[in-house]
Amino acid sequence: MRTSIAHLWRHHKLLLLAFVVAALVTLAFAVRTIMFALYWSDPAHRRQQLEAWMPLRYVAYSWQLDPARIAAAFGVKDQQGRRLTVGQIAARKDLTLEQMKQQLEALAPPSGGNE
Amino acid sequence: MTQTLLALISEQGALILFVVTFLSCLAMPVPASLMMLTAGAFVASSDLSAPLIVVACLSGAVLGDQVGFALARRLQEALDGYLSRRPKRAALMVKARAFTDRWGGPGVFFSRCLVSPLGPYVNLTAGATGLSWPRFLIWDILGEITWVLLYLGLGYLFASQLTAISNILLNLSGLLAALVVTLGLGLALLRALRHSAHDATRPR
Repeated sequence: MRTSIAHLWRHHKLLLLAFVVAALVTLAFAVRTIMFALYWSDPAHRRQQLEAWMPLRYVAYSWQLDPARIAAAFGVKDQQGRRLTVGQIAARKDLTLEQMKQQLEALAPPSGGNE
Repeated sequence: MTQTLLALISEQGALILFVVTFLSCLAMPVPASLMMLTAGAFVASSDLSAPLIVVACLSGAVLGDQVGFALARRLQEALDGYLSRRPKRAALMVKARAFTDRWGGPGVFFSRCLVSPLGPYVNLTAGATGLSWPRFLIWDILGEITWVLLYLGLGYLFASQLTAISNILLNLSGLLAALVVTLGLGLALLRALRHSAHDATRPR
């Protein structure tokens, strides 16, 4: 084993280095995949966090709310295919994302709405 | 940048997905898989129309692959002139061509869907080692259909847990691609070792 590695190191240095780097990258991805799987297996983590890029209809969908009711609460017309994002509505209403979140949460059922 | 691109899905819809899948097939660092998962989720919430998104992703990806392949094919012609003056290198190219001829089709297919991070490099290799264009095209289209429907479909199915599914899936895809590269390099190392053992036992 040792002599094999020594031989490869002498004659195929680049190939051996590439293999070691690739193996380390594989290991890193494996660890990350396991960690994510563990994190997301906890139902408490699963509720979709609010982000500025999300259309309002999508937020309603992921939190299992009535899109028409949410749209009315923020004074926008609910039309399929017309995508106003949370960020755009916040800017229009002069709200921060955090304030938007609080207002939406007030409309949402208590924790675990999508379980 | 990812947040901006995700916001663009809401603002531009299908167009941005066409652009991103096109660029990703030319090895540009854009989060095409994540954007397709997101688009799938937006189909579920009726923010996007499914047929339009499928067509945009598919045409962007296939077109990007064809451009990569065509560029490498151009390169191959220049390479042939160079190799005709260097017989040792030319022998290596003959081996590479035989490999492509044998494994090229399935290689193209799986590098679209199962190990998609490797796709752009497979396009270049396929073009440079002379895989026939009709064969490349057919496997490419089949592979991209699988890729696009898989990611859009999973985004649709797991729409309310978009962050979770993209975290897990993108890591898994990276893991598979890294594993394939590691195994390939490992095989090359084993072959090099066997060669040297063979040389050592050969009478001089």
